[in-house]
Amino acid sequence: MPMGAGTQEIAERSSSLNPRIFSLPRLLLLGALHSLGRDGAPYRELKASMPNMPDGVLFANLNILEQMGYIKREEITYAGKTMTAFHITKEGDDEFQKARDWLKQWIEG
Amino acid sequence: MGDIKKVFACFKELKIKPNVDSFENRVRMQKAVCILDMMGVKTGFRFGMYVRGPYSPDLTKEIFSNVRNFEKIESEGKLTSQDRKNLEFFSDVMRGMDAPMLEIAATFAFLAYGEKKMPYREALEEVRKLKHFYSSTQLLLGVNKAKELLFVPTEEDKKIMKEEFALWEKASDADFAKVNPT
Repeated sequence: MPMGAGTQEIAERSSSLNPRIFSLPRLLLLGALHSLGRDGAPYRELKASMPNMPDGVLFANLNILEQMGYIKREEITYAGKTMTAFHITKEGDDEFQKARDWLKQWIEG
Repeated sequence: MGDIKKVFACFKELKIKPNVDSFENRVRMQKAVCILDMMGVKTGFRFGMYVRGPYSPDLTKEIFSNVRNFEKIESEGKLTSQDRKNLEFFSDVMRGMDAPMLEIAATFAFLAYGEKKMPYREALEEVRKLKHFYSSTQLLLGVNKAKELLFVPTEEDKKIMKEEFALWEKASDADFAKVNPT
């Protein structure tokens, strides 16, 4: 298939993206936390909203996103219980936005 | 964009301090504004279904941006007499403003009384899935609070209730007649 100018541009733009966020669990997690901004979400809520994602996959991907500096873990108290919550960082927000814009441009061709 | 002054005026009436440092309080504020909107206390913030149930990212942004001027802003918010009545009713039903209770009630209300207008059974199932970490008692209490605040019987509901209550009244009359024979 011939590569049009649009496709070439899309390929060039992809070099500014972090390829490590392009996995379904990571994009879903970043997307969910992006919408919640500074509020973030407790682990149990993230788990409940992604019922098909096994615990191990969810936890491993949260750890990777945290290591990349895209999300931050914190201890919160809710209804008298201490729990772990996550929120997106500025870097995570920017990277997610970049990836989303790139995907949008690609799809809209 | 929503009316943050009105939101703060509502918080003042409900005795909710807009403290953004506490996760619990942030949940409380979001869910209260969401339910109040469905009750007719319109503040103009748009809610959507997110990971934690109904949520307005714009409301969070506005609360964070204006929380330092809370005391000044709350006095500028305008509430109608109907708003005040609704706030009083809300405060009465949601005594203590328990965050999990508000969370469950708002989620059920959004599904059953919001744009989706899901049948009760389906809405309840959805709430059970999303909030599976709460006990059945907590879920039922929260759902009942939402119904208490927002249920408006249709003509069909009224007919069914009338028939149901008629049976109870008949039974009660019969009992009364036994205890007090003429």
